[in-house]
Amino acid sequence: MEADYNIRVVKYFIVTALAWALVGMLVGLMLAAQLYWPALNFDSEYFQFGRLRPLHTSGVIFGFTVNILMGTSLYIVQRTGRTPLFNNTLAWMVYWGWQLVLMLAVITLPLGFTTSKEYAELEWPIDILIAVVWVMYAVLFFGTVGKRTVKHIFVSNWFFGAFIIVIAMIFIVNNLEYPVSLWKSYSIYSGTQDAIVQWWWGHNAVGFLLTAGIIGMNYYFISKATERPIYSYRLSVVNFWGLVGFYTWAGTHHLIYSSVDDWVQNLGIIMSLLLWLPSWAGAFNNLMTLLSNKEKLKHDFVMLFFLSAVIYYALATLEGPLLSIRWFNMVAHNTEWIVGHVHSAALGWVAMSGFAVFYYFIPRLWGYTEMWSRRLMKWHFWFSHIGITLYAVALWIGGIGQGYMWLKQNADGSLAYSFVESMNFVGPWFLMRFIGGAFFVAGVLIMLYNFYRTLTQSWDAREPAREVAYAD
Amino acid sequence: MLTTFWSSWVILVVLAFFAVMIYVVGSYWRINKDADKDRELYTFDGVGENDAKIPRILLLAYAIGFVAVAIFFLLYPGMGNWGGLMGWKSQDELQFFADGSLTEAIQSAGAGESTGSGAANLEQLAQSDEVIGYGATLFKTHCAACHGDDAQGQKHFPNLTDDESLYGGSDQSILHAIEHGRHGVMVGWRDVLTDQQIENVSAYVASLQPERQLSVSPVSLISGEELFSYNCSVCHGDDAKGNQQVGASDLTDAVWVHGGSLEDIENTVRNGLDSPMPAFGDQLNREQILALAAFIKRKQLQSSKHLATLNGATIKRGEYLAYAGDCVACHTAENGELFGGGLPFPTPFGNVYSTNISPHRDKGIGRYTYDEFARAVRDGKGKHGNLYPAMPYTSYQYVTDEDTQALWQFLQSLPPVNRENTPDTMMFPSNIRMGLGAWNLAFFDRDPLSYPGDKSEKWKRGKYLTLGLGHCAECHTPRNLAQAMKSDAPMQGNVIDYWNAPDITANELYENGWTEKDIVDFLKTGDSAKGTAFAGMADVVKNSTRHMSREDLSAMATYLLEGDVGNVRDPARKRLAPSGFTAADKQREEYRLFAETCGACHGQDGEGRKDIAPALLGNGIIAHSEPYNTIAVVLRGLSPDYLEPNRDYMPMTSFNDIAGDGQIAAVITFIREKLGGRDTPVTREMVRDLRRTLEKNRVTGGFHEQELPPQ
Amino acid sequence: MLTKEFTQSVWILILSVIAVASLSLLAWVLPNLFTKSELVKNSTAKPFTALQLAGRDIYISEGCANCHSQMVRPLAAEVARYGRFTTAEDDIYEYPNLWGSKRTGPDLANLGRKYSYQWHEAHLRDPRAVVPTSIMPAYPWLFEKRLSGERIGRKMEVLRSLGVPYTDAEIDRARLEVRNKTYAQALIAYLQSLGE
Repeated sequence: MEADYNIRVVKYFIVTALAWALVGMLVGLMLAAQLYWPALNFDSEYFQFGRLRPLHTSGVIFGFTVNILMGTSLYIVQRTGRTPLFNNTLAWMVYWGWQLVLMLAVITLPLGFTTSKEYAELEWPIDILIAVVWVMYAVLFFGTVGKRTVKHIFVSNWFFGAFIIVIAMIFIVNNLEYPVSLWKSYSIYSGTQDAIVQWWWGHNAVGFLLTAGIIGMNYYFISKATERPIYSYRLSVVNFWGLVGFYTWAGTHHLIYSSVDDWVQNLGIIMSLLLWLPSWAGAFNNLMTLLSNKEKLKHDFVMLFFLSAVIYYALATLEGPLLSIRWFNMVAHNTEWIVGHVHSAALGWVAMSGFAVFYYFIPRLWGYTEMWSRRLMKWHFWFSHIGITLYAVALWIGGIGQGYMWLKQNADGSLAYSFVESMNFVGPWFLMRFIGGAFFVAGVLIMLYNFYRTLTQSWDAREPAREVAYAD
Repeated sequence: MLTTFWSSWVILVVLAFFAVMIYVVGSYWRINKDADKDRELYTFDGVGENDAKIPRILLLAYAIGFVAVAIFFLLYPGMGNWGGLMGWKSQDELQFFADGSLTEAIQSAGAGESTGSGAANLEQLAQSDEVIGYGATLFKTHCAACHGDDAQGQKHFPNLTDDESLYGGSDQSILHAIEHGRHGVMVGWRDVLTDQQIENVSAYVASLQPERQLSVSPVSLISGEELFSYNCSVCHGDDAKGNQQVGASDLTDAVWVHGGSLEDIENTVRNGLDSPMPAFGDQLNREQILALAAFIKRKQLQSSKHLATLNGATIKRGEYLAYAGDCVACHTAENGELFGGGLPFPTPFGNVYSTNISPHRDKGIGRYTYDEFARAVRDGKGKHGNLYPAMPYTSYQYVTDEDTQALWQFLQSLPPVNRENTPDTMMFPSNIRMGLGAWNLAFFDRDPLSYPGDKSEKWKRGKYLTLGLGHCAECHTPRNLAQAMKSDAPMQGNVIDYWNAPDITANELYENGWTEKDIVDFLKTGDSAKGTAFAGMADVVKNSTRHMSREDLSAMATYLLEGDVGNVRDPARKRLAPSGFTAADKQREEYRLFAETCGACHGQDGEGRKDIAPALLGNGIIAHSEPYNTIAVVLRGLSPDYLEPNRDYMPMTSFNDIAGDGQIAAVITFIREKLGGRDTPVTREMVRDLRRTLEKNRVTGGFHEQELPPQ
Repeated sequence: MLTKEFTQSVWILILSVIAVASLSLLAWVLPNLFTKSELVKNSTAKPFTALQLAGRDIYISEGCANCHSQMVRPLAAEVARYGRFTTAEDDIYEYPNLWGSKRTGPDLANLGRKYSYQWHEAHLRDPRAVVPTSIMPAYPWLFEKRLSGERIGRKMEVLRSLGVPYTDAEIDRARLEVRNKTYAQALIAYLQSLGE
């Protein structure tokens, strides 16, 4: 039966995710450079910051993250349900459909075809395509869950399931738009209504794509890498419903002190604070699983990447609720601090989890047990940490300083700093952020080289037993 | 506001949600004691799931959280329209405060207004550092984006530190502008005047500033004056001095808010202006406006105080020296604002543009100290890095401290020009200014000028002016591949812009018969018994030497005629003695050609004709050992230079399309011999080669085409 | 249901996730959609003119909202810097909202008339010419590209069907109003309308 598993499509997704990790992050690095050296906009319509920025966010969210989640979810659902995919044709349609979405994004965003709604910039024809592909993905995934040959549904699949369902819901509600022409439409909502819908989407995209999906992936792979059982089943249930419940309410913390009604803002604040609990519950569960094999943790970089990811997750899910408190939000809103917060989660949690999965999964998918070089993994590990640290510290200082300067008033009520002064203050920290980003991307390049060497090793390095389990 | 229905709906949904969450947490709390961390509940694909306890602290935290939420929603908004017992609204946090410190500062500065007794006195307020402190921060936030950090303004946004004000600079007028704004409007004349008329009237307006050098015909100025009095004088006044009642600007001074180059003026005339200054009365209170106005007043006082420290006599001398150094010619774009920079210097590596050297702090050299200025002028080291040697610091290095100081004072006394510098287009690697350090090391000869004891004071003065500020050698000394002057060939001539800056060594000048008076006449008026200044030299005379005293010019003449090291007069050289045309000459074929072409203007004997063409007989260029210019004039033609009104010659046409290479060579050989006394022939090949070069670079074709830009 | 059954039935998993995740939609997304009519009643906002609308679409297309917010918060310092704080009534014609989430550059909610047309021109052409330390990209192409006006009528019709009260006459005139204007002219017209 294992021979019927569709592993080939999983390989496609994983390699594509790897490529998008590099592309998305390179674009991000370019943006960081543009913020310090504006000449790098090259006076070009297609290359300037405003056009490039959605390409970065789309690249890392829809390119890197969705591809890795689709790949791992289709793998895990087959193996933990002891059943091949519900329909192989559908699987390939999902794969190629999604790559078509990404290709269209790469073409249309630099051309300026955008709705301007954050993380939902793509215009209506692509939105329709996304919805269609997503429904196919849902049918494929739940169809496979439905025909599982074991009684229970594995914990990863709850999280993948929630990720698929909620993304579908919020994506469709947020992207209701009235077409003007092939590449132009207007949102059917305006002003505050539109902002509320937008952040119901915006924050849940973080909550379900970048959090629930990754958690689902990690529950399986952390246990695999640790070679120990998951620490607590009941904790994972509380973790699951806490996330599904509280996350969907938290979006309005993006609208604190905006023209949205106070009650809406306050709901977002309260739910964001409560969200701290299920987040740490999940982190604790992962952490305890990792710690149950301390021997391996000492030298195994897959586990160390997972450990780092869990720690960054815990930090970011503490910082998040903090930032939604009015006093913090007053300072942090609209500043670089928010960008720093997003990246300590995106780089620390999402990317580090991704790296761990890549390192664990890719060699085994191709029948090898180990990476070509442990030393390069070590370099990558430390480059990532240096990168994130520089990045986060730079934007903490830059962002908090900026927020303070914006709000600081003289005794007579006049402003203490001009906007230009606040920009001049942030300048050097932009440089440090760029250097941090460069370290992180350099780490990715090291990883790619390591994969290249791993997968071009002679056949002798393969382990025959693995070949049976993973070959397509 | 929600309707009651929706408000109740919200409350119900929120309660339902919490019920679900409490149910999940509660049900696990109840059975938490059954947990056993070593029990494996399920395995999936080798992944086991153990049954560890939910940490008690998490359950407790949930419980506390739920209670806290209940209390919160009782006290604060969250449940639909329920406002909460605290009566809090986020907009209540908008509390403007002022601790009265500014009011106090204003009062203690003794300005009457805040006590209600009469108008504010800005000059008095400007003395208070405390008030100025507030004003400075307000200025940065509200004003600096347009008027610049130093309030010196930029294009379209006036300089607030000078005495010029469109609406008069009274305290009331400043306060009014801040509180209520201004709206400068000028209609565009595009639909009323023709393009030619707009050009003419703009040229006239530009010409109101007498120092300015414009290359426009006198006819167009006359037409422009008429158009001005007809259309513009209503607002700007018959004398063009402006009208503060309507905010019409004074057009006779050097202050140009919307750009003062001829092109900018034409643009303004054509399209008009719509230049609003926003009103800040809504955003700032009266005290803040006073502080802001006091800050501006302080800037004005500082600037006028600074101007007062400059020495009038020194400025005057600096101005004279600036003319002697020809600063204005290079640092002014064609028809541009004086000292605003922007003139291109084509080099084999790309264009270098001269810079704004007016005292504008952002656009010009307003932030330079004297030492930095002196380093730039004499060492070629600007604040932004090494200067390109297009700036003749290789010559200016000889300028004395005293003279540099005078130049510095003069430049500071000028009105700041708000023109942004044009970026250079030098290609890699010559765009790296650091590399010029190596150039300086290799080619910048730092030896001071020698003034041998046996030479007269006049000669020494002449040497100082010629090699220092006059920087004559920069053009007249040939250059090597790296564009450095060849020190072993001083004054031996060099080709620039396809003209020859001729050999002016003592030998050459002597041979060609130049006297001290000829040279002084030539430099002072552009005209002399030995011929006229044309092309680049005409600009030099126009912008520089004609402003110099005859005394200084004759010192320079003495130096040039007597020679110097490496430029020693050879006693064996004889003066050339042209014979003129004899009766026999006039029978020759070459003479027939001469008479048909050159003779009509230059006279049948080459003696020249008043107001039409200069003499060729005895002309320094005809007699010159290098025939380049003679050939080039014939091929390129010449346009008049407007050097002095009513003293111009007619344009000379180009013979490029009229005579063949052989004919031109023959005629030139003939006139060089007869009118110049020079018997070295000019060959057909020499003409052909030069013609090809000129055609390739599109500089042939006479004055018509010469108007085109050199690209 | 939420403790045991959802781990054993795919349908229960799907339905229970939908149910729990929908509560937020029902609690604070849906009710707000029904407050629009009251906002419209109390609003003094004016619909964008054809040229301003064309400019707004350029603002969207160039991604200006990535670096500029349009939401002044009711905080003293913010009001002192940017002017009047934004209310829900101000934005009834904002399809979609352009509040942004980041101030790499300053807030633009009340930008209109704060600077002159020439300032905007100089700034869009080369931001560093007017603000020496600016990191904003330069937008020279906005001065070269021109609007044809072919689409503007359709855009206004779409917005009218979404609730912007454009008249037939306004839609008729729209094409001529924007035709041949440069992108920069349209964008500046939009920027000058902000906060009016």
